[in-house]
Amino acid sequence: MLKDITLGQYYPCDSPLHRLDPRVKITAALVYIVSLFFVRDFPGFAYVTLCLAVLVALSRVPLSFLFRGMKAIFLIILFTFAANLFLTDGSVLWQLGFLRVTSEGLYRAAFMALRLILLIVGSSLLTLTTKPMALTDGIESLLSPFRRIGLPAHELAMMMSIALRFIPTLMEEADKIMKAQSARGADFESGNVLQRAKALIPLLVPLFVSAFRIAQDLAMAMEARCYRGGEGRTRLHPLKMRGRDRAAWILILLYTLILLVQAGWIVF
Amino acid sequence: MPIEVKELSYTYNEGLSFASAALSEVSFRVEDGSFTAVIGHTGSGKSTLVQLLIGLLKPQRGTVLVDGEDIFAENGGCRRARQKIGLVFQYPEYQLFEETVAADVAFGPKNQGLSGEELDACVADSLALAGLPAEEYGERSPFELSGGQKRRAAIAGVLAMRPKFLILDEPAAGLDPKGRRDLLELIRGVQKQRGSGILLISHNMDEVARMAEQVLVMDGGRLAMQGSPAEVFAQGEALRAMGLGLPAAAAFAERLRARGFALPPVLTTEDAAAALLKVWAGSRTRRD
Ligand SMILES: Nc1ncnc2c1ncn2[C@@H]1O[C@H](COP(=O)(O)OP(=O)(O)O)[C@@H](O)[C@H]1O
Ligand SMILES: [Mg+2]
Repeated sequence: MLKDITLGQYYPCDSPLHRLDPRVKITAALVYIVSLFFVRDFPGFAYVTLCLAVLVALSRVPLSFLFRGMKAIFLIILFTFAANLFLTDGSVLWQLGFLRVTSEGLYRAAFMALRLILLIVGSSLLTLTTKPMALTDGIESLLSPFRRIGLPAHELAMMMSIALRFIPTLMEEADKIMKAQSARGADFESGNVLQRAKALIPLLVPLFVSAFRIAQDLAMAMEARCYRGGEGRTRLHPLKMRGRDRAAWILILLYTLILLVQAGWIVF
Repeated sequence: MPIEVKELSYTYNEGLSFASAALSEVSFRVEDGSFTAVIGHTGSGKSTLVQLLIGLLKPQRGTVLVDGEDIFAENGGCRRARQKIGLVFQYPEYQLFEETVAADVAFGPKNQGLSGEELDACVADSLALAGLPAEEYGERSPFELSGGQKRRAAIAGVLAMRPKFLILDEPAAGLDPKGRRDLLELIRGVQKQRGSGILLISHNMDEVARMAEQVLVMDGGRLAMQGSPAEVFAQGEALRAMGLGLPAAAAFAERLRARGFALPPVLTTEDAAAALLKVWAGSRTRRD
């Protein structure tokens, strides 16, 4: 159950996407997310889906692994779909009591669901192909121009990397505690909502205790190694743009241009 | 209540690029009331094995029979296995969650349907067995106990389910020598007083040599050796190749033998002392 959440998880393997500079990938992910809101029709979605499919194939992340993370947010997608389907005014296709499906509603619902799915798959592709460390280095490097106006780029990046780094650790911890309580006869999977919520107490209390313990240990270990923020800190592997990264920049530009032309934002 | 393991195999993350076979084709049998030790270096699959024994993981191949019943059968087999087999995880103190020690210990038996006086008696009995008398510790918060006490409180929580078989995954890890001795006494006490079978995962060869009737040696997910402590610890070379060692007394005797002393096989310090005294007495009578 817990293992189904792949949000923020890294999939270790060697692929062209894994090898790209994190700054390129972060920019690409941002461009991609924004671009989803420029898409106005289904041919546009077809284009975006095609591009995403090519990237997924390039990334060598198995589809089953990619979609495992979707299960957790399936409810949100379903809810969005239902809300759009039943609550949009327009020409009625089908009616049963107060439930009414309009053609505009159907269109909107499919549209929103597709957009959500593309959003989630696209952004998880970033974390699946980028090690948390690389991701943070990339974010720090991209944010560093804003340091002059007082943005704590290093601290933000460090906080993010620690949060990302500890998602799997806490999952593992939760898995362990869950097993230990199951061995004592705890039942996490049956009963009504209230009973299930109550059944979570034996899991959540030790999990919080562990989280604080881990945080304390980490702070201690960082201080013991003289961590004092980003000032004057050097890197073992400085980020460097290579040929393939420059090629990727051009592809990102090309993707954006085609999308803008397709959506009618740029007219020749 | 024998536990029978048949060609058990388990792979984590099967089908993914980082799949790792943690257990392959392991078969053995442990008898009712017996004391079995599992040794093997880190990552050899010991923890995976014991989690499979009570159905916390589902094996890809093979099965586990508890009392002759397949625990992976559809009709709640693993539920029944968990009633009979208690599993103490590594660092069990991290599973404590209740406001008082007594309430935490009561969690397991409550899930089994115990209540009222029966429950109180069961909790008091288990706490006493774990060396934390209920009058003194029952109403304290588990989070204010010392490390060793926390661990014993957690073990009491498993004992309270009155398992016919108790599995402990490196229960003495990180304890000081006294904590360690107390814990081993506790385990022996459980075996004696309740007649429970014990399966102990341990890195301490001295403990294993002293306490176990049967030793299982894991290496790279396989069961590499199986036998009495005397049989297993007679194969010092093979054990060393697996990153394991001999009990201190056995290693000591081995060195002396290499220097020409004719010593019989020994396992414990007492054995070694007795054997040495015999050799010494022999050499004295010869000189006289
Ligand atoms: N939750 C897990 N996910 C993936 N691999 C695991 C997990 N737990 C253990 N493993 C792997 O399975 C193998 C056996 O581990 P384990 O049973 O914990 O060994 P031991 O208890 O003997 O140290 C190791 O290679 C370990 O990396
Ligand atoms: Mg282990």
